[in-house]
Amino acid sequence: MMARKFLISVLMALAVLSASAQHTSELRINEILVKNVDNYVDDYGHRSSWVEIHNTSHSTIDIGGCYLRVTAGGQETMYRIPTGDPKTKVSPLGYIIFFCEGTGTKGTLYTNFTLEDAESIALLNASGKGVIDEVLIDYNSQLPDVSIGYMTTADGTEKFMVLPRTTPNATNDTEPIVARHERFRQMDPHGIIMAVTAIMVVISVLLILFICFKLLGNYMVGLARRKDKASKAAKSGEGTVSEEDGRNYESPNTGDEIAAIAMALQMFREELHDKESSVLTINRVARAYSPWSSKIYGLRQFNKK
Amino acid sequence: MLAEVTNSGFSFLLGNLRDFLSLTSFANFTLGHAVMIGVGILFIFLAIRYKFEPMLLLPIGFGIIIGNIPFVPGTEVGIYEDGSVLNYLYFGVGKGVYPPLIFLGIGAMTDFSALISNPKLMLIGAAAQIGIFAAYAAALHMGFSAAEAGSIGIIGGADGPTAIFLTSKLAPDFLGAVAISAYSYMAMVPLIQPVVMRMLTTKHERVIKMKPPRPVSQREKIFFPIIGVLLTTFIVPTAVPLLGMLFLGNLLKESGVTKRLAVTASGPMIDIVTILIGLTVGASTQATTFLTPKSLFIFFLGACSFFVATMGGVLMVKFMNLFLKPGNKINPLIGNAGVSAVPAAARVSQDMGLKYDRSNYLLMHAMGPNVAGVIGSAVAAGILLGFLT
Repeated sequence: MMARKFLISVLMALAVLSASAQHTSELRINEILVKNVDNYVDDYGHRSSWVEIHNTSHSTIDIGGCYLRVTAGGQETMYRIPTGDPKTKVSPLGYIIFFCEGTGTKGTLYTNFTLEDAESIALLNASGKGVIDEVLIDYNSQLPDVSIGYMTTADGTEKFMVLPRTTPNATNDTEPIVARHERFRQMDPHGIIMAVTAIMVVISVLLILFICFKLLGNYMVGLARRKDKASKAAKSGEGTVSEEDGRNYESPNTGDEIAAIAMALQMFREELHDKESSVLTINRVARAYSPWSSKIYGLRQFNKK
Repeated sequence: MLAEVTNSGFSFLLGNLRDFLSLTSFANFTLGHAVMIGVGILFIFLAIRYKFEPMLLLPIGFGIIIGNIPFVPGTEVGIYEDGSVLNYLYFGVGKGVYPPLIFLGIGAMTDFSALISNPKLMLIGAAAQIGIFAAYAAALHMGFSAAEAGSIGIIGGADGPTAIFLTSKLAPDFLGAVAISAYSYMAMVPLIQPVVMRMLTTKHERVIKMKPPRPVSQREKIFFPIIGVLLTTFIVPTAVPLLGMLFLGNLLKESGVTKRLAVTASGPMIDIVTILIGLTVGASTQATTFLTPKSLFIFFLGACSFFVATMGGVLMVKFMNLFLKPGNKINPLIGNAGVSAVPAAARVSQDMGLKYDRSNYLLMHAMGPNVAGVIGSAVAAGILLGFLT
């Protein structure tokens, strides 16, 4: 009973952990436009500062219940993202934009703060305490219609920087991306690198398995031998004394001996039964035709006029 | 008045009939459809008459016929039309759902004892994967993209589910051609492989008698899937869907405490998935998308890949024999089994062995490289997936 309770508790803990692990921690503040003069327009036709959140995971994440926090002039303002709104579900590798227009009354995607004189903006988890991502903002250095955000640099790493162009609801990497397999093809046009690498990996995987099971096999064989020796040593003399009749028997050693004993036992068991009668009697059954058994005569006959 | 009504009624009836006729397959029939239906019937014939992998070829053949019944687009009938029943069933192929389920069943019905008792046979399974990468290189030279070349190369693994899984990720457009090619060559294992085996072995080598495998304890059989999954997937995590399911199925079988699950996985479940995968793969070969020169190239490269893979396995055995003591030598006729067409390739080894020595039973020995080939081809698929996506 205790074991079952323990097991259930462990399973529940695992479920909770996995539920939280695959969610909001995968979000990040991807792009911020502080001074929106002639840029992205909200649903009301206004231009205001905006913050883009990116779901970096490959599963849908509901951002509802999380908080956006802005710090301006030492004051913190929190905006709780409403729950139960389908708009707060961020698709895999998708984006969501919050307009920082300050009223907080225009809907889910409109915060109750602006980014005026903002020093930092943070995305907090549903407890309102755990910081998922935070970005420091130097308000005075921000240029009109120029956003800041993550961008992949030439060395392949991502850095938070001033972006060459604003990209609301889209990736910040605007340079054309060559597919990985095409890059591979360019680097390895004859497929030799792929063949050599892959064969090496396949062989090494199976080689490791081979070594592992060779060692395991040797260990198991050794173990079986030791057990065999120990059991032989435990037996007094060369044979075994039967508890039933006190006679001395040699234990069978080879498969042939075991098979012979099994065969003898089978034959002995068969002889315990009487042989059943196996006379086959064949009787001739003839069905002579009779009007009484004929279907034709059983049918209603119409009067012949 | 009456004549007018009759005339309009008659013309309405004629119009309706004309519309109906335009919807029938006769009105939309093309030569391509006829060719593909012929291929479908050929597959069914081979399955019934010659028993070439009937479990696969029969549903695939019937699927080809179903997929090539001409219809008017937009009626939610075709396999590529959203909302059609066939489209829902095809989801399992397109998204790579069925192959891991098949692997679960394969794991639950496979006895890895031969491999555990003689682990060096794993190296044969590794060597046979050379066919995959030879075909990959050849496909690159023929102008296929790297992703397409990877999908074509995997045909050499001789593992239908793995081929479908990888192609659904790398080159979904080639799914029909690759799957048909892989399953066709798997069915033709008894025709293709003996030629290569005879070519590469001497009379003396063909009659080598191998030592009987040692008995394997249940504890070792339980360790195998656990250690196997950890070692293989830590190196190639992209192979988790296939290898994870394969080893899970085997653990269900060997643990001895989940007999019902093992029976379901190796019986009803794999049967259901085999029917669905065969039918939908067959139906995906619509003449309009399938009958292209590229499909022919795929078939050609697939055949080359298969030959090279068989050669790789046989030559690996010969190479290993250079270092083995006389009593421990391996019969090179089991080298072909490294291509993972389970258990057809092992049966070929058995038949060939008996042909040259009536008392030389190679089946159990050939099962070792055969199951190693399954692991090897899944690892190879994982590598291709890792590099090319």
